[in-house]
Amino acid sequence: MNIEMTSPLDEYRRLMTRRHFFSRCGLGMGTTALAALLKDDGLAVSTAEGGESQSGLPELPHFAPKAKRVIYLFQSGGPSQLELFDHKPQLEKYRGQDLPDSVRRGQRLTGMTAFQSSFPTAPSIYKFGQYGKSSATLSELLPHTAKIADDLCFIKSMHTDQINHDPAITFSLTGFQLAGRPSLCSWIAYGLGSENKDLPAFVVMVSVGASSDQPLYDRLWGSGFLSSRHQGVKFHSGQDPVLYLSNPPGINNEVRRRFLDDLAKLNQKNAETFGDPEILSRVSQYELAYRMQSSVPELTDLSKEPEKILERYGPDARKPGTFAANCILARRLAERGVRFIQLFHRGWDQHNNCPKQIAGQCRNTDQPTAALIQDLKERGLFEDTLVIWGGEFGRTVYSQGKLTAEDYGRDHHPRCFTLWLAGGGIKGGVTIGETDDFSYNIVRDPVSVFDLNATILHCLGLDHTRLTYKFQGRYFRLTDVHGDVVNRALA
Amino acid sequence: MHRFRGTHLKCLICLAASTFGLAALAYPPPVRALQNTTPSGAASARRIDFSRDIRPILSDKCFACHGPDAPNNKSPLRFDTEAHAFADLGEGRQAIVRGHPEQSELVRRITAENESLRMPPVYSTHKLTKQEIDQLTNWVAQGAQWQQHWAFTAPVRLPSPAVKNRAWLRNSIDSFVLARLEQEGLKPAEEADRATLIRRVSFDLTGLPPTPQEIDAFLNDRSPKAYEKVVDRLLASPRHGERMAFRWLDAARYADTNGYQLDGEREMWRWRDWVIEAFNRNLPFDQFVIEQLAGDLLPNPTLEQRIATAFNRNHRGNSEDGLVPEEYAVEYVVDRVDTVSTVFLGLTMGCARCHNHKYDPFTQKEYYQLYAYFNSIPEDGRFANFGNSRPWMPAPTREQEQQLRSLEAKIALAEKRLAASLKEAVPAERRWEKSLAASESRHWFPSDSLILHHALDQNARLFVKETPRSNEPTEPNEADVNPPKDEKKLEIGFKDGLPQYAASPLGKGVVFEGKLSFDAGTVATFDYRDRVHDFKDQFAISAWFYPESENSGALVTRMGENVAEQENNLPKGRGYGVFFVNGKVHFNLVGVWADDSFRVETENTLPIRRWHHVVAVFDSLQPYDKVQIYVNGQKQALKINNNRLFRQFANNDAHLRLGAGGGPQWHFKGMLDEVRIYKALPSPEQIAILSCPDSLSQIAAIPPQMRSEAQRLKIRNAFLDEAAPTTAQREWNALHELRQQKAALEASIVTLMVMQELPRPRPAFLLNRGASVDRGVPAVLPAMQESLTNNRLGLARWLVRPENPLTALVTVNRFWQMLFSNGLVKTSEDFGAQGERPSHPELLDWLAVEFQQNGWNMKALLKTIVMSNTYRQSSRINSELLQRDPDNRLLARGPRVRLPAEMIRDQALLASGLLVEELGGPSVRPYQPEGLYKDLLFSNMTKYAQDKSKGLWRRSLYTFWKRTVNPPAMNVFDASSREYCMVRETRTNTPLQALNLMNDTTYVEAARIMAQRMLNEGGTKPEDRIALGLRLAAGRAPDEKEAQVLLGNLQSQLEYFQGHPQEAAQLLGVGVKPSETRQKTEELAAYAVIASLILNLDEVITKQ
Repeated sequence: MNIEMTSPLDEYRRLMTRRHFFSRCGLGMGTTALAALLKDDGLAVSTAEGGESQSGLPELPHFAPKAKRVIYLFQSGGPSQLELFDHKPQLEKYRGQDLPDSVRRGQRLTGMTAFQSSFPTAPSIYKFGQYGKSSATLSELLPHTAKIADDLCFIKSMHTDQINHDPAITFSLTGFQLAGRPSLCSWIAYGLGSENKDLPAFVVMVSVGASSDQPLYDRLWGSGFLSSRHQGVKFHSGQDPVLYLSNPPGINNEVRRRFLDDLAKLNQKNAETFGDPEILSRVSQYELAYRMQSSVPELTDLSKEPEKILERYGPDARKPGTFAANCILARRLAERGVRFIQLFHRGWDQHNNCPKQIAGQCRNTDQPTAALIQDLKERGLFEDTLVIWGGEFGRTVYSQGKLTAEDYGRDHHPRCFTLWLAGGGIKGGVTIGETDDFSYNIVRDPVSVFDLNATILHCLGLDHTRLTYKFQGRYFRLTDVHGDVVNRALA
Repeated sequence: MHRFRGTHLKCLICLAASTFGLAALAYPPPVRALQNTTPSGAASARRIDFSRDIRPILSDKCFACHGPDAPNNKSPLRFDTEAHAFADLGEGRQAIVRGHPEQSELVRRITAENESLRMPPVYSTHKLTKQEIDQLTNWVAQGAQWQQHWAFTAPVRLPSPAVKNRAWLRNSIDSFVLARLEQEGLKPAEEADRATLIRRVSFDLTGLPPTPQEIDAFLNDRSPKAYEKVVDRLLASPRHGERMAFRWLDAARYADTNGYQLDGEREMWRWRDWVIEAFNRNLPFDQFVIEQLAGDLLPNPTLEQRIATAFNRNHRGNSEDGLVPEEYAVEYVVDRVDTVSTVFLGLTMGCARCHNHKYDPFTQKEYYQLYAYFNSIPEDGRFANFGNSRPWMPAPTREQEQQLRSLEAKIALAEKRLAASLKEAVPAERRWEKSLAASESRHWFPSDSLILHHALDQNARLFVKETPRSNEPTEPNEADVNPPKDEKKLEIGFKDGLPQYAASPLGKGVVFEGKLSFDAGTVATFDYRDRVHDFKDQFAISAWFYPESENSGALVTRMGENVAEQENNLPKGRGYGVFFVNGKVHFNLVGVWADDSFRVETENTLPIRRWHHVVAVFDSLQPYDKVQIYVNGQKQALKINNNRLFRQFANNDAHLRLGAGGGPQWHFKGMLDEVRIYKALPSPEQIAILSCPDSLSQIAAIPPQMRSEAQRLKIRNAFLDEAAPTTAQREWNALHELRQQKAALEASIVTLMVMQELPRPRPAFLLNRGASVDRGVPAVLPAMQESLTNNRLGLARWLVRPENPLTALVTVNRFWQMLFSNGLVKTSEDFGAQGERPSHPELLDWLAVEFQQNGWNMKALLKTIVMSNTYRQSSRINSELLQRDPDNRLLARGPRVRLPAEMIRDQALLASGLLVEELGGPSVRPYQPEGLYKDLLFSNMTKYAQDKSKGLWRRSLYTFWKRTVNPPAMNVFDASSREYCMVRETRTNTPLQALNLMNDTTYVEAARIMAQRMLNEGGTKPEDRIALGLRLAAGRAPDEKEAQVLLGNLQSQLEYFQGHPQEAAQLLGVGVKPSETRQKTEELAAYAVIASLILNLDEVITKQ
C-alpha cells in the first residue's frame, strides 16, 4: 500500500482517537501502515451523523460526576408500595370500607376497576418493621433489603402521568408516553459514550422465569431519533448472549481470524481506491465484533464466581437468565466499565391474588438486589455506581375484585409509588416524601418521573436542561420542559 | 396530564420560527437566493443574505420568546414577521433601524455588556456566537433586507445557469450542479466505470444488484443509448415497485402489528401490495396522494381506491385493558396529522398541538383545523388485541376477487338450472305433496352446519356434532336425554327437576318453572379474537319459546351461574346468551360487561304467554353490525347496549345450557322447544323455514298459491332433500356446494383498515381550550380553492395543486435523498425555519416544477435524475474534497453510501440464487434467532412461527414486522421501527452489523448456496469460481491482488476443512435449503467461507 496515496486516510486518522487492536493482527498487504493509522482509538465515526461518536459529546460531562455508571433494576408491572414500603397501620380501621371520595377526588381509574360497584379499602396483610440506623420502614417481604436500608434513599412520593403499562413504562424510560423518543440510557450513551472498548455502552437484560406478565418493547432501550448506535444491546439468556455472537457451527476462532484478516485487506484496498473513511471504520467494527466474541462469553460465564458470592445472591444465582444471575452479570458489567446496565424484572402486576403473588416476586428479587449492593460495596464500585430500583407506577389501596381476610387485588395507581436510589451521588438512609393515610395522594415532596430522570442525569454529571438533541427543528431533552433535580437525595 | 406528542406550553427549549402572517402578503415573494449555507470557503466575505444567514439565527436563538407563539411569548417584540420586527416600540425605539446598528435595539441588546440586559438571557441556555453577533450587526448595517421563508413560495423554473464546462452537461440538473461547483472552484468527478454504474442504478431503481448477465450485456453494449436502455429496463421491472415501497412503508409507518403493549397482529398487507402496484404502474404522484388520503371520497370509488386509504390507518393502535378510549382516539388523529404534514408538506405541525408553533407560522388553531379533516371516521380509541379494528373492509386480492366473481356466476347458473329442473319436476312434486298430506306430522329444517339440536320432546336425544377448532375432525357425538354412564361424568341432561312436557307449535315442548334447566356440556364453543387468533366465528341460535312473564330469563346461554355478576338487573357474566328481559329479547356476548362486549336487545316488546320463534345471529366478519335477531321470521330493530367487542367472550368453564345462565334468578320461566345451533350464518330462506311452525302435511294441505313464503320454502326444501328427481337433487346439491364455497371464500378474504367518512362530520375542538374549529388549511399556504369540497378529498387535491409550494418540493427532495443519501434539503422532514436551506435551491425548484409539469410522473423524474452526469459521477473521494465537503453536499462526486437493511439481505438472497421473487401477499417470517420473543412477550405470544421454505427467501419488504420487537437483522442496519412516520434514513456502522453478516443463518445459508453456485457455474478453476463469486455480489471481477487474497483464503479454508470434515459438514448444515452439488463437502465448505467473505465486504454492502 502506498501511504502517499492515502491522504484520505490521514484525514481519517485525524478523526480518530487512540486504539490498539490491529497491533496483534499480523496482516500482510499494507497492514503495518494500516495498523499505524489505526493505533488511534476511534470506534464508530460515522460521517453521516456529524459529531456524534462512541466517545460522547466533547463538552460533557457538564460538571464532575459522582456516578460513572448506572444499574437500573426496573420492576415492570407496578410493584405495590402498600405491600413493600409505604406502611399504613391506620388503614386497618377502614378495612372493607369504600375508599372515601374525598381521597379519590374523581381521579380517573382504569377500565378494569372503573365499573366496580364498590372500592373496598384493603390494608396490606404484611407486617412492617424499622430497619437500620435510619429506621427505614420496610415490609417483612424484604428481609434482605432491610439489611442494606441505610444505603438506600427511598422516595415514597413518586408519581407519574400514566395509568396503563405501555404508556407508563414508555414514559418512565423515555420521558414521553408515545413511541419515538430516545430512552434514558441512550441519552446517556449519546452524551457520555462508552468506557469499554470491547463491550457496548448500554446493556439490557430481562429476567426469564418471572411470571409471564406485561410485555416489554424494543423502544424502552431504543434510541428514538438519536443514532441507532446508542440503543441498548439486549443480552439474551440463551446460547448467544448477544444476537449472532457465535460463529456458525464448523467455524472456529482461527478460521474467523484468518477471515477477518483477509476481509480487512480487501476492505483496505477499497479504501485506497475510494478514499471513504467509512470503510476503515467498518474494518474497526469487525475487529470490535471479534473482540466481543471473546469478551462477552467471558463476561457471562459465571462458573468462576466464588461459591460464597453465588450463595449470597441466593438459590437462583446458578440459573442463567434469572434476576439473581442477571444481578451478578450486572456487577460484572459494572466492573468492566459498561456505562448503563438495565435489568427488567416482570410480574409485578398484582390485579388479583396480590398477597401471594407479591411474596413470590420478592423471593425472586429481594436477596439478589441486596447481594448486588453488598458486592458493589466490597469491590469499591458502590461509590460511583448509581443503582435504581422501581417500576412504572404504584397500586391502588382499594381492592380490585373481592376483598377477603387473606386475599385482594390492586389496580394501577399513578398518583404515588415508591422507588429507591443508592450508590454514586446518593445519600443513603434517607426517606423522601410522604403519602396520605390511604397511600393514595402525596402530601409532601412530590417527585415526578422527570425529577427522577433529571436526578439520574445529575449524578452522572449531566445537566438535564443542557443535554439536548436537535430533531425536527427542536431541541429535545429527556425531561422535555420539566424536571427538578431531587437535591435531598444527593450526597 | 402530559400526553401530547408536540411540545409543551411552557416550552422553553422549543424555539420559534419565521412567519409571514398576513402582513407579509404585501411584499412580493422574492426569488430564492442563489447562495446557500453549504460548505464554502468564501461564505463570510459574501453579502449577508437574510434567508441564508439571518433567519436561522433569529429562529434558533430568538423565536422562543420573540416568535410566532405570541400568546406564550415573554415579550411583545417579535422577529418572525417583517411588520413586527420593524415596528415602533414606543419612546422612539425600534428593534431594527435599517442601516443603523447603533440605533437598533436588537444590536444594542445582543452586544450589551450588562448581563441583565443582554440577549438571549443567560437562563435561556442559548448563546450567540461572535460570528452570529457580527452577522446580525452587519445585516442591519447593510440595510436589513427581509425575505419570505423560501419554502412557502411557489417554486419557479429558472433558466439553466451559464457554465464554463458546457461539454459536461447532459441535462438541466447538471447545469445547476456544475454552476455551483464552478462557483466553488471545484470540478465534477469523472464518470463511474460501467460496472459500478449499473450496480448503483440497479440498486437505486430495483433494490437489487445486477446479475452477471445484465452486467455483461451493459458492458458489451457500445450504443450511445446503452445506459438509458438499462434505466428503462429497471424502471419497467416489477422489482421497481418493491424498491420504491421500502421507504414509502417507513413514511407510512406500515407494520404487521398494533404496536402497543401486547402488540397483536393486524392485517394491512393488502395496502402494501397496492403501494407496490401503484409504483409499478407509475400512478401519477398527485393521484397517488389523492387516493391514499381520500380514495374513499372519490366519486364511485373502486375497491383499489378504497384500499389506498389504509395509508391513514397504519398508525399504532392501543388495546390495553383499562385505557381511556377517547385519549387514544385523539392520538390516532394526531398521528395522521403529523404523518401527512411530514410526508407531504415537510412540516413539523406536531409542535402546534399544544401551542402555536415556536418557529413556523402555524397557530394551534390551524393545527386542529387540519386535525378536523382526519377525525371524522367511525373508529374506536381502543383496538382489538388481534386483527383489524373498525373501520375495516374486506379487501380481496385480485385473485380472490376473480374467484368470487367466478363463484357468483356459477351460483347464478346453478340457480337457473335448479329452477329449470324443478319446473320439470312439478308433477312429481305435487304427487309427493299428496302423499304427505296423508302421512303423519313431520317437519323439515336445515341441517347444514347444524352443530346442536334438542327437540325437547319426550325421549328426544341431544344431537351434537361439533368440529373442534384444531380442525381435527372428531366423530359426531349423540347423547341421550338420560345420559349413559360415561356422560354422567359430563353431567349432560336435565338439572334441578324432571322435565314436564306441554303442547307447543311443533308438538311438545318442555316446561321450565324457574329451576329446571338442561345442561348440554362444553359444546357450542364460539369466540371472537384472542391475542394470537381471529376465530372468524359465525353462528346462529334458533329456538321456540313461551315466556311466562316479562322477565322470563335465560333461553340458551353459555354463561356461568355467578350471582354476584348482576348489574341493573341484568346478568353480566362472561359468555354468550339469549335472554328474555323486560319483554324483549336480549343477545349478549360478554368478555367484560362494561367495556368489552357486544350487547343488544330488541326495540319492540313481545307479548308474554305466547309462543315465539327466535333466531339470534352473531357474525364476527362484520365490522359494526355483528348481531341480528329475528323474531317469528322478522328481522328486529335493535337497541345497541354496547358494541365494543375487542377480544374473547367465550366462557370455557361454563356449559351450554337451555333455560339457565347468568345466575339462579335467570332460570327460565315458561316453555322452550326445538333448540338448534348452527355454526354458520343462516340465509334468509333458512330463517324463514326455521320460524315456520307448520308441518309438511299441514303445508301440503294448503293449495300452493295460498302458501306463505316460509311454507313454500319449507316444503320445497323437503321435496328437494327427500323426493325430487335425481337431476333436481343434483342441481340442488351443486348449488349448495357452491354457496358453501362462496361462504368459505368470503371468510378467507383478507381485510384492511381503511378510511371511511362519517355521514355527519364529527366536531373537532381546539384541545385543551375547548373551542370548536372548522376544517381549514394553514393561512401561510395558499388558500383552498372554492371549487374544492372542504373535506379530506378537498385537502388531498389542495396538496397537489400547482400553487401549493410544498408537496412537489418535499417529494422531489425525498427522491433525491433516496438516490444521493442526502436530500438537497438535508432535513427532509423539516422545510420550516429550523430546517436546513436547500444546497441547490434553483435545482430543487427546477425539479419540483419539472415533476408537476410532467404530470407528476414518478418514473420520469427518477429517469431524469439518474440520466444526469451528476448522478453518474464516480464516488471516489480525494482528500481535499473529503475535508471540504465530507457529506457530498456540493455533488462533486457520485453517491457512496451503505445499502439499507433490505437491500443487504436481498442482495445475498439474489446472489446465491435463493431469492423467491413473488410479488405481494401475506407477510413472511424468515430466519430469526430462537427465543427472541420469549423474554419480552406474553406467554401465548412468544412463538415465532418461522417459515419452512419459500417465506425464508422472499424480499425483505415482505418480512413480518412486529413493532415492539423489530426483525433483528433489519434493526441492526438502522431500519425504522415503524412505530411512527420516518422520512430520513440513518446509517450507522457497528459491531452488531458485523456479527449479523457473519453469523446470521440467513447469510450463512446464502453463502453456502452461493458457494454451490460458484462451484456449479464458475467453471473448474478456483480463480474463475472466485471471480464469479465477486461478480455475483460486487458486480465486478477481482483484480490480481484481490484474487491473491481470496485464493489464499480459499487455500487455508480447504486445508482446514480437509483436516476437519465434521466441521465442514456442520457448516453445510446451516439453513434448510439442501445443498445440491457434486463437489466434496470440504470444498463446498471452503467456498462457503469465501462466499461469506465476499458478502461481508464493505464494497458489497455499499452502493458506490
